[in-house]
Amino acid sequence: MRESPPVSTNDPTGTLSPVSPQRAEANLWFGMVLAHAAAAMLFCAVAFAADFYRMRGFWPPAFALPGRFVPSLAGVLLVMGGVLQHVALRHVADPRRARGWMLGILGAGAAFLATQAAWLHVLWWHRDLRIPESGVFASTLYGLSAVQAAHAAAVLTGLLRATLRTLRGLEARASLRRALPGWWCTTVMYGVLFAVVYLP
Amino acid sequence: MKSGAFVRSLWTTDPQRVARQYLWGGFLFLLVGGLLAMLIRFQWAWPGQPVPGLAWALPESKGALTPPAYTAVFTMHGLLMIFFAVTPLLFGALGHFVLPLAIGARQMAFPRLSAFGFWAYAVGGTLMLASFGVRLGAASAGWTSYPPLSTPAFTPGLGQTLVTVAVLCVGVSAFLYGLNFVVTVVRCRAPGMTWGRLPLVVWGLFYGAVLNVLFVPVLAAATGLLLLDRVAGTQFFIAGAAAVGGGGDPVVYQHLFWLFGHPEVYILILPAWGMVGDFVAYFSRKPAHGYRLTAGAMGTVTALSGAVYAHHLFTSGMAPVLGRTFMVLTLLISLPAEVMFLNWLMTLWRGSVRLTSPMLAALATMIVFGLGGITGLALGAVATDVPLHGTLWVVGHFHLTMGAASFLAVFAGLYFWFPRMYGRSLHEGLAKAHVLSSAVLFIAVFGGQLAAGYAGQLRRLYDPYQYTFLAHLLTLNRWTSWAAFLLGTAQLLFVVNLVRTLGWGRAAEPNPWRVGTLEWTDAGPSPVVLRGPHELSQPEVQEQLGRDWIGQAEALPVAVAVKVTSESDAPGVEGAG
Repeated sequence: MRESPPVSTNDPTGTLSPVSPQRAEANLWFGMVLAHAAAAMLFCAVAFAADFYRMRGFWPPAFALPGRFVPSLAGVLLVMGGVLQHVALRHVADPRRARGWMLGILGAGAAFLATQAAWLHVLWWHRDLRIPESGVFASTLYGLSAVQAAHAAAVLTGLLRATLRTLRGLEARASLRRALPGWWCTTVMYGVLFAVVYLP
Repeated sequence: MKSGAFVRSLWTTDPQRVARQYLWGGFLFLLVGGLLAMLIRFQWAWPGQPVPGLAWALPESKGALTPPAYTAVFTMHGLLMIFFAVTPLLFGALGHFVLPLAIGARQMAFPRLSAFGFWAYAVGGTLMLASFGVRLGAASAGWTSYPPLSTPAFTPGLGQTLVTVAVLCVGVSAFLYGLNFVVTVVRCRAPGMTWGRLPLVVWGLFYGAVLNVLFVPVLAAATGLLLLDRVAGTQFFIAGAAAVGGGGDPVVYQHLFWLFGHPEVYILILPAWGMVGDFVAYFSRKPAHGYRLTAGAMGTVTALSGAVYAHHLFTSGMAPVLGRTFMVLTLLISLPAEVMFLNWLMTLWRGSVRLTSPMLAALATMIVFGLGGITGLALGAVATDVPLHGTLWVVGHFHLTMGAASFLAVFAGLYFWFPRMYGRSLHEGLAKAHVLSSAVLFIAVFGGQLAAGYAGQLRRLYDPYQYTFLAHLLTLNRWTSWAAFLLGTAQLLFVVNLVRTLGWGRAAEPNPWRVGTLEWTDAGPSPVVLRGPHELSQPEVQEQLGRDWIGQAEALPVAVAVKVTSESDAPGVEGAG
């Protein structure tokens, strides 16, 4: 079989100038919003499953530990990080001033993940809330938390990039703007998780 | 091609090369899935008899399908056809090829996502094929992978796990091209390519892509939780876990699966509808009747598609009020589909119809989808769904809509765009013979299934004739199987045509179908669109240019152009192309 004649692409001669950075950035921002919407769909599907289980039995089950202080604190950290991002956006043109804010956001995100990990490990896992022994409650708690933490970690990775740019003295407005919808999406999803898992 | 160039071409970001990668991948899985379909038909015609030529794969039974092998065969057939053949052919191949060209974009919005999407698909496909070779065999819980069948208690082997991961991989691929298509259509249209000037196939791809973005994550959730149940010991879908502190529920999986699964039907059919709408206009040499209404109807179907899913669960014990609600919604969704049908018929009416191979395939798509739609009404209503649920009626219905209609639409698109894709013309006679024989045989095969289902034959039975009340269906099923074997053989017409054309075919004309859309007209790399896609047989154009079509970006002398384009002079999109 001989080789086919070359296919005409949209830019067969390769002479077109690349898409302008502003336009590429706007495309990327739109794509990120869609991606977060999809992540929210995934999370809502899992939350729907959890809600289904709630309707079928006592929730939280008798062996579940009381106390919502630490999970509430984790939520506050997320809200704080979101507010910090809005403040950082105002100062992002000056990398020296933005550094502190950016590190603060990263700190809030890292503290959120650490709080969640400690809460789940020390208080739940350590006190014998295990998979599969503890049934669907444990599956839901760990499953929802893992999905939410994975999303939060992905957003934090984007923010880390923005922070590194700032530390190098570069402007990071685009990266920060891109991360903002993701952060709030993560926050709202944590609210859903909190309502589904912890509220009676 | 040198080996270095070949390796580089594997990671290509050119959408048209990605399209060709998907095309060959889709053909491979179509072949495997088709061969598995032949095995199913053989089993229903001669249950438990050795399949000629299969002794090497099943030496212990001397080539006869055993019950476990049979369940694996129909499971893998469904999964391969839906996730790895038809969807990638429609979106991955035809979508990547036509979408950027038809809207005048210089590239996809995220070219690297296109490449990554293909490789996620390739990894998923490899896992699917690998699952045939593992201990305890491939997945065998049905294409829906319902728990508890898909939990380790019933399918303990690695095969089901591999297939679950493969579905996740292909989900990633579908999500990525869905996202890419949405951003490309919204953000990268050429100047002047307003929403009202998009070819209908672009509308179909766009709506399908929106559904991919919204509902593939739900599939990922269902499949992800199932995977956790299989490998991490979670209890999401295991009802028996009540003994250990509160159990999960397999019905939750059904809800999640169908929340994706029903929109998936529309993901498959929306691009097909778009192609039918365009091709009927092109080959009737008329503007598409009710263009806005057709695009609007497709949008209405898209909007409703996520709200009708629970008609798949009428027999799951749901509350009667929910059953009635979903019944009404399900029947409502047929209304916009009927609007589209009427528009297509009106386009054909008094048109100068040219029965080319793409047109024949488009008409065949209309017919088989119409049959599938009508037979689906019985499944949308609670009273008739209850006795038909789980019978071959359901199988015949969804094969007509998701299988035959989508398959014929793939070939409509392929016959239409092949000259642009490969620069060569397929043999029209062979193409027409392929389309006609396929359409007739599809109706025979799936019509046979409908009849057997109406007579009460349950789907997935290894040997239906062990039940006295089904014994008389053996003759019907044998005839249906012969039609299926002929259908499989008819695909050789396409294979011969393809090999002949790629090897020795004549070079294609630049615009063999005489249409004005951007992918066919040499509008340059930065076109400015002036009119809609179906400006055919306009008297002014015929008078000025001596032909019955005009390119979307082709200028006419001003006095005439104003008259032709007066309806669509909206300001252009700030395009990238």
